[in-house]
Amino acid sequence: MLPASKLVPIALLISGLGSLLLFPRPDIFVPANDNFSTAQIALEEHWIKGAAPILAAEFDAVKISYVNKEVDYSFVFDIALGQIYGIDADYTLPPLDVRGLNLSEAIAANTKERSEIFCNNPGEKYCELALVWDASADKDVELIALRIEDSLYALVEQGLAISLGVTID
Amino acid sequence: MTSPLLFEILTLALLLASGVSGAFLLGARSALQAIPLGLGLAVMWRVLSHSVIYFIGFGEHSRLVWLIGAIALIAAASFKHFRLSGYWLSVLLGVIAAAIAAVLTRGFGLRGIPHSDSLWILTLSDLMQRSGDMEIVGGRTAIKRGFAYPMTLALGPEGSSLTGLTPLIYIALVLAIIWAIASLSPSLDARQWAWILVPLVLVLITTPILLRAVWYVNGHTLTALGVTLAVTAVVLAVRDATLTRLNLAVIMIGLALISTTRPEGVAFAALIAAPLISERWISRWDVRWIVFSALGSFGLWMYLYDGYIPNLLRLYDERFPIAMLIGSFLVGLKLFDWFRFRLVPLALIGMTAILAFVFATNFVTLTDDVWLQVQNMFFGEGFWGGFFIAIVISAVVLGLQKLDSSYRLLAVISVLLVIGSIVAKLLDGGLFGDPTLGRLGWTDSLNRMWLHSFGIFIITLVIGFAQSISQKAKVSA
Repeated sequence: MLPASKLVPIALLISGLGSLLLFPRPDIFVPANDNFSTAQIALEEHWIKGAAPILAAEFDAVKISYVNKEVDYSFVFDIALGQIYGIDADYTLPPLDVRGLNLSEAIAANTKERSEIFCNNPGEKYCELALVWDASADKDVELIALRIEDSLYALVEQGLAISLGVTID
Repeated sequence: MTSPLLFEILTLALLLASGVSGAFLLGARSALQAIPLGLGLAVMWRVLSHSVIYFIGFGEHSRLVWLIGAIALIAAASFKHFRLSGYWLSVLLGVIAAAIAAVLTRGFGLRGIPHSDSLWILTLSDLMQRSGDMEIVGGRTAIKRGFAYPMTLALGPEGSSLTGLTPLIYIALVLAIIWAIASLSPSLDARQWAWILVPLVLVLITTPILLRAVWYVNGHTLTALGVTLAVTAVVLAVRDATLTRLNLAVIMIGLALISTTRPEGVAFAALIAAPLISERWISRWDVRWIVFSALGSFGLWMYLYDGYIPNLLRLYDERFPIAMLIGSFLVGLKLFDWFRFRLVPLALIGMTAILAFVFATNFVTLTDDVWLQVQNMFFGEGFWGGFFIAIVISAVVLGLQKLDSSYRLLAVISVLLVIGSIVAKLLDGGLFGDPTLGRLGWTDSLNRMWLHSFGIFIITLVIGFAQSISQKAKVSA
């Protein structure tokens, strides 16, 4: 049998060459495109919890409502992230169910971000969340949470939502 | 306005120059040791200065306090070591390493592979940079996001992080591994070194996860730096049967780094320190200092912003850090000697018993999970290339040799770290509820936790190989 002084380097060589030939060669970094801002990275990477940093980067002050996540048919707007980014969130009521208005197409043109998010739909853990506002949105923005489709929620700028026919109590 | 690249070069250079200065003040005399030790020391100075300033309500001045302390360290060391060329050379090399690290991100425009853990860490770093209320996140965000790493990232330009820190940690880690090998290995000639190092480098550069870790935003490599520093100093102390002041400082800084970077770090710290504090010759006060470096820094983290474990133990407010302080003192009492002298076998038996219990009660689920981990580690799914295949074969081959105590101790610590990682993962996944060993793919947390100890596996392999050659040469002579 070969001595350890030969077996070990041979084992290393075979492992290295085997790795080179047989195993996947994934990317080891991504181009930054001059983007090192936390909020912008969250936006670029469609971070599942990215709504808070994205909104904070876009507006001076953000108020959102209808984001109670403790009931069925709601989504998770992360409390810690909301507070880290200084978002005034009202967690009292769950998202308004506006599926009857068929707003999917109407909001598409003004959707700034749409990504996967945790939700509390019975039997369903992941839904989608769209962030929607138009050019008329103030820098001090108010958004409301809506249930647009069975598995699609949206945070829509309040004025835009009203103009689309949403009634807010 | 200063360009972000220049800002990063200056900040990282100051970080490393102050750390290297601190390392020389502690007694380090080579760049190989001073740069990794210095980075660890600089990170801990950042943690300590921010924590104290935040605690007294002046968190917004923490960058200034860090800056003043860093300059003071450089001034003190340059005054003391003015004529020591090794000091100036180490500072220069440290500054060059800092510049390379900044260029690797801001200069070349490269970022780590996207991952939600990275974004959480960047978010925490953003909060720390803005000196936000740390209580916001206490109990609401996973403790896994750590403390020391986002805290140091927060030294970056406003609105973004210190991007070059991650590559700089990696450079320091590589130097720490080289320092460990140089300190623990018997002397070999150049041909013998090439015989092991060339194939080893081939394995390392064909292991994708080790290349990803250069840029990947997470605390794994900072933990690995702490592990490598502490384990090396522990093995040196046990080998020489004496604990120098410098080695004590290296161990304390290493353990504090581990304990403030990862939630399981404090348990890892205990496993690493166990072989040394169970020695009969070590003084009781040194035992207390070593334990305090892990428990004290962990207590600080938990007290300042993440009350997960204090809440679990119902040790609210100041009671948790005080309990850590008292615990550190008690460990050195004669009353606990029986337990202390048998720490290593007790740790091995305890962890093995936990594993046996959990596997026995969740056999089917965990058998499937073990298969997933095997695929991650050996079949390329976790991007470990041929690394673990090489390590396991080498361990088997070298295990059959009669090698000296340093190798045996490194092997024991490696085993402790492997079992410790698995137990930590089971705890994370719900040890007594719904235990899991993870999932397929590189993002699995146990798969990434191997990054904490890969340096020790490499050191163990190389030292074993060097000893086997050295013994063969003696026999031939």
